[in-house]
Amino acid sequence: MDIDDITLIRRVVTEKSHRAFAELVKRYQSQLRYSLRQLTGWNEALADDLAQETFIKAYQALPGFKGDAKFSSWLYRIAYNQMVSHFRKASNREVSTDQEPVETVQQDDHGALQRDLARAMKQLPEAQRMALHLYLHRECSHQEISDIMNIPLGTVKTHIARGKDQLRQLLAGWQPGETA
Amino acid sequence: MNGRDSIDQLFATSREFEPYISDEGFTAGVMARLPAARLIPFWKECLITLAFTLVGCLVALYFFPAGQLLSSLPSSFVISPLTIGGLSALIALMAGSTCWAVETNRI
Repeated sequence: MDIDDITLIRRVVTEKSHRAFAELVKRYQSQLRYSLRQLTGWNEALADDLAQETFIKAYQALPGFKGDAKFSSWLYRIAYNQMVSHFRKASNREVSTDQEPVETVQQDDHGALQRDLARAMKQLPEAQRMALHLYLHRECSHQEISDIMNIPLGTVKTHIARGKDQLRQLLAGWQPGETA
Repeated sequence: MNGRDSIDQLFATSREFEPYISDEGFTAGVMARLPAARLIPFWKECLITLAFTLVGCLVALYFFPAGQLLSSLPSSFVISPLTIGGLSALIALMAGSTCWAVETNRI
């Protein structure tokens, strides 16, 4: 029987249990790494680095986790801050983060869809990208997105509406396998 | 891509076919970067230390020639302020060392 997140979190906080934390990482790694791939233009190496940093930060901050939000939402909040911080540092260093995503074995229509969508999303501002991904892909509510991104509810709605409009233009005439 | 709901549809398809990303050492990589874990919880550590200390004391009490030692002690002590100061310093030093060792995970 699966142990629920709260029990695992309690074990990490009170007993500093690495085994419990490893279980949490295993539980959320795919979801978070996928989201970060979508948000970084399918740059797998960067997405995995950000995911790793997110989990390490989460481990350190876990005693402060109140449990009033879902663990996944709390994790996404850390991931978003990590991503924003990374892109800010990268732009300060004037290092290009627009590297070509690494091609992997999955090349069917759905694989192409994931990559093309990620590449199109990469052209949106970070906040719009995150809001759109959380709303349309992770099906978070406006309130959850507002909590994760720490922005007002109205701004969330604006980001989603503008992001959708922009994405619609970017993907006009899109066919699987060809990037907008 | 045309139509008002085309983006929603695209994301719905993407969501439906979201691949599971296999771990392939990712969790191990995260765990390797965490601060070292206690092998056993702190309260268990304290309990074990206390239990062994008690056992040690009982064994010592059983084998220690307490009566013989007591009879060889002088019948009266003269404790000077210097002795009290020295003993206090020694106790403080031992307590401080124990705290430091516990806090820095050296025990």
